[in-house]
Amino acid sequence: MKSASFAFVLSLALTSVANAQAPSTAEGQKPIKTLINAIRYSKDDLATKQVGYDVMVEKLMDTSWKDASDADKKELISGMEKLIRGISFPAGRDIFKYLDNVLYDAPRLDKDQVKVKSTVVIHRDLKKSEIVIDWVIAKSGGQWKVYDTVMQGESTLAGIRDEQIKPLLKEGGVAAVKKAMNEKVAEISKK
Amino acid sequence: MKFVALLALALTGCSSLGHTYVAPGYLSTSADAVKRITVGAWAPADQAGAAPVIARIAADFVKLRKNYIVPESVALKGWEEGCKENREGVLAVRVLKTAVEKEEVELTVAVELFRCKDGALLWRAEGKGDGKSNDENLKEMVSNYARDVDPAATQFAAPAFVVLQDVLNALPDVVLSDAEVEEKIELGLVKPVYERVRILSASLLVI
Repeated sequence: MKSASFAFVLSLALTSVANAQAPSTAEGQKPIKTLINAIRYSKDDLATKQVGYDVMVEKLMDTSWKDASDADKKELISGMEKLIRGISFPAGRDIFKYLDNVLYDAPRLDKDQVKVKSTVVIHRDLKKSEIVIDWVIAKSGGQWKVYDTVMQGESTLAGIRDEQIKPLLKEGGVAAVKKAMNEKVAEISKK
Repeated sequence: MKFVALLALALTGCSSLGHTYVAPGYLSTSADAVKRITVGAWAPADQAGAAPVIARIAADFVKLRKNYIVPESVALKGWEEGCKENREGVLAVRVLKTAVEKEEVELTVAVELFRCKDGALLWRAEGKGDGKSNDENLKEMVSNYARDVDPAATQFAAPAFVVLQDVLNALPDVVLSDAEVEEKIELGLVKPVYERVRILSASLLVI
């Protein structure tokens, strides 16, 4: 029995180590490169497969995620996908004309997150500048996907969670978040 | 406003596009245009380290800003070396002149697009420009190229980036079919050679 428990603990420890490892360079860069190129060429179905909407919404909802019903979770994930496809992908295409170079580092482990640093060179009004973006990736459905970006130490997801989601949760719980999300989805569907 | 633009231009270096040539009758938008290309570069022997850096910068720009499918960037002695399987053409950058004075680097380049099947010169342009090796606006990019390609990047990457952009902007773009777009997206994901070697080594150790 003791040896069985030991084996169980050992396997758990090994699984934890495996989960904490950063993927290979090609594996880790794949979702980001595919996402950028797919958006560029308006292949939005391919682009959307590179985004971890489930991980994204779970992080946004923070502790309220565990209280949400399965139906709520499904609705929130679907709503997030519609918002990203309706707002972020077209915005990404607009920015594309300003990009002069995008270079990637190998994936790295930063505490419990896997990040891929990219250096983006942009031009505006004849001036060049660099933006360093950390893409945060996680495995979802057996595939590495993007779920957050960090610029100058600021997480996009944490910003949205603190400024938009938390006040809604305080005001009316998961229902308030769903209502706001559905209203935004309806608004962009009209455009 | 004009002053701000001029100041920005002065701070990032300046370049000019010289003579350009397109082969009579060549249409880059036609279905049989040269789309799959090797991007190569040659630099004089005393600046040999600049060649792989310039090839990579040119390749990265063409991949990002143009529709060409670019499987590889290499240092070349002659453009013919870039003609391989599944390659229709070679975009060859030749460094014609370099003048280095402390951090100021002046570069003159000629960029030529050749068709592999008959050696035809399809397009050519020359560009000249100067810039600072230690351009503050490009320091992350420079350190990336120095780490991933060649230490010569610390001297050449920033000025070459400025000069090549102007020349390569003039390169007539191609039009890709849906299947070719998918090929281009997939190509960006091919495992680098060193990674294949690493995997092969690991497999051999297991065996």
